[in-house]
Amino acid sequence: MARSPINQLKDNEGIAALVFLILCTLLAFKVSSSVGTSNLAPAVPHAAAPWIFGPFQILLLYLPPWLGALMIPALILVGLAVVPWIAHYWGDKWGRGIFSALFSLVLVLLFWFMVKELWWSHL
Amino acid sequence: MKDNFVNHLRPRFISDRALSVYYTFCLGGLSFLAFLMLGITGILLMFHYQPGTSSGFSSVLTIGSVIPYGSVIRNLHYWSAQLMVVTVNLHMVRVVWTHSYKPPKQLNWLVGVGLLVLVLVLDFTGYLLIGSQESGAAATVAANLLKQIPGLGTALAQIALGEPTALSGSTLIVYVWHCVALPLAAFWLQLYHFWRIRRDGGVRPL
Repeated sequence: MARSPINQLKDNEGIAALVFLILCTLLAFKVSSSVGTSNLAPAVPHAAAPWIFGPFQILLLYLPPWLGALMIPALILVGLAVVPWIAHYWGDKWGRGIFSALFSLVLVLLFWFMVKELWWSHL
Repeated sequence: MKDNFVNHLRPRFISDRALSVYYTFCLGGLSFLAFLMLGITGILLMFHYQPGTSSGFSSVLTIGSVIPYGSVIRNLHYWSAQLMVVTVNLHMVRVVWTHSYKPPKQLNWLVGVGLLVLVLVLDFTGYLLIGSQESGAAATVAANLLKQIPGLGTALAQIALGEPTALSGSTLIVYVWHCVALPLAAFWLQLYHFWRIRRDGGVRPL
């Protein structure tokens, strides 16, 4: 196996880190993070989850809590955890397929949440 | 043991495949960089943040409008967290795409899934600490969900969230989880993750 001194890896990592830091700094100066609604203000009628937890909110909206917010996320996590063993016993296609299915499900729910919230905010 | 750990984290030579930016896109390293940024900006925020039903939100406002550079530090903390969730997920996709979870790396895959959960919980507790009405709603939903777990639920909700109100999710318990316990767990798990990458043969397809 061909090998190289680790300094070359450090160069790559350094450039990637610099780009990441510049991106973060630009975002920090240009886009302020929301503070939400004061708890002294009148109660808001609708609270949208942060985008990361959008899939949870969608699941909670249409399914009972024990299923939407406990069983399904737990099954997704267990499914992710066993991917190496699925690939080992059933083949790589199955491993990649199970991962893609679970990841796609989360992405679809996230997309659903974003469309719904954009639509909601334009009411 | 110390030499073993350090030499595996930073060996003198590595596989040529590990040098290809287009193979890893440095996503794991960038996630760790985001974690370090979160640590530094988080410590700076801790100097002025006060957890509590009413003090949480008002201290966030103070940081954003009164403390010099407070707004920038908070924004850096926020954006590092958002980007970390993105890079961690993309890192996971890359690992599956290159079959880097295959034996002998399955244990490290499990560690990675654990880290994903920790990152999401850290993000959630960070959201609760804003102390806004929205964070109160999120804390109430989370507490009610945990209480659905038979037997352990109520105790688990108390241990994880304390007693948040519907108008603020900022409690001392969430603060300690977010600032001490969870970051420490994530830090040690990440070091173990990096050590195992080299131990299991480095970044290369099997």
